[in-house]
Amino acid sequence: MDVDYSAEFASDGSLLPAPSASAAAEDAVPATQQKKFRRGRVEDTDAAVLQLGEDFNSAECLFVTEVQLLLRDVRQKKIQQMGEKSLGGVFQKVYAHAEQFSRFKDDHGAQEVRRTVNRAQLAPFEAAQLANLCCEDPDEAKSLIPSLAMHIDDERLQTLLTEIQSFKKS
Amino acid sequence: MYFLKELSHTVQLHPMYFGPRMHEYVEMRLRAEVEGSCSGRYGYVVAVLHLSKMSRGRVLPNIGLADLHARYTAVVFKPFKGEVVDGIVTTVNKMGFFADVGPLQVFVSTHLIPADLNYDPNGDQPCYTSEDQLIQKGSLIRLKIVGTRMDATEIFAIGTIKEDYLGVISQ
Repeated sequence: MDVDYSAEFASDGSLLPAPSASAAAEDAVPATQQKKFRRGRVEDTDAAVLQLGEDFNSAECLFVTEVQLLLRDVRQKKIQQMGEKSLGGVFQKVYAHAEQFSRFKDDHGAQEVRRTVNRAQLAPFEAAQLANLCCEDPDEAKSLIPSLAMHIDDERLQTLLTEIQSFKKS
Repeated sequence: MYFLKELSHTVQLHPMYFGPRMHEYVEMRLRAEVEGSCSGRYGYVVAVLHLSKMSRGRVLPNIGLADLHARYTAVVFKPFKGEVVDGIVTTVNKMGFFADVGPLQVFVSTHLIPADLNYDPNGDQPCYTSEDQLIQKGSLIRLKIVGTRMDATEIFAIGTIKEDYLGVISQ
């Protein structure tokens, strides 16, 4: 099921009494993009060279730990309101996976790691992968995230990795 | 990779819901319709975090239902070719093994398993073994996605562990 109806949204938005100009402009862009998708053109994506497609190239990436923390709150609210059965299969699978592979101790650890990787000024995808995979040395990091080699030198990478390691769950 | 993404969706509303609690109802419907859904373009929509904008709604000619457009921020999961992920092995057979990465099922064929890991069907559960690694049901594994296939309701991926630093995660 395709959840994006931005093409219709744009034509419709003009009928509303006070649509903000910026929102209308925002909607106008995906309308042209969508034509391409409707014709069935498949975009080439490759994470090794940081090509995630138009929709995700600049999207905000989340670490597994952040996903777990975000979903923990959503989960508690849902269970309180509607009981455990209201959680869908996808939600439960993601939550179980995030709990299993969450690398950092708590909210504080995740925030510190986020700050650390943001300081390194990497692409969002690289930053999230570094935090998810918790590599030990630069060679491992560069082998698992090939695009890193273009953006950061070994020395800085090593300090970054050591810093990330220090927040890891024991 | 998990993303925080702003998406939009249209909810069709029956006139019986036009009233003071309409927005609450729309939010509930939106969650029911998009959470857990999967599309080739955005991958899995895991959870709606909050609604940022909701249109005033427009009654459709002839049928009386109203269209409401909502913009919302959601956690989405979309796998990419070339991405390295951690997963849990679910089934092992002589063709290879399956691993779950959240909602995504990844298949790793024997051609993409290093040659020193041999299939061993004897024993209480089938596994791949070498001198220092053991892959069986429940093992934690680090793999690289080499291809994805989008279905209407699911995404499948092919993975490899035949590269440096991939394979069983020792903890």
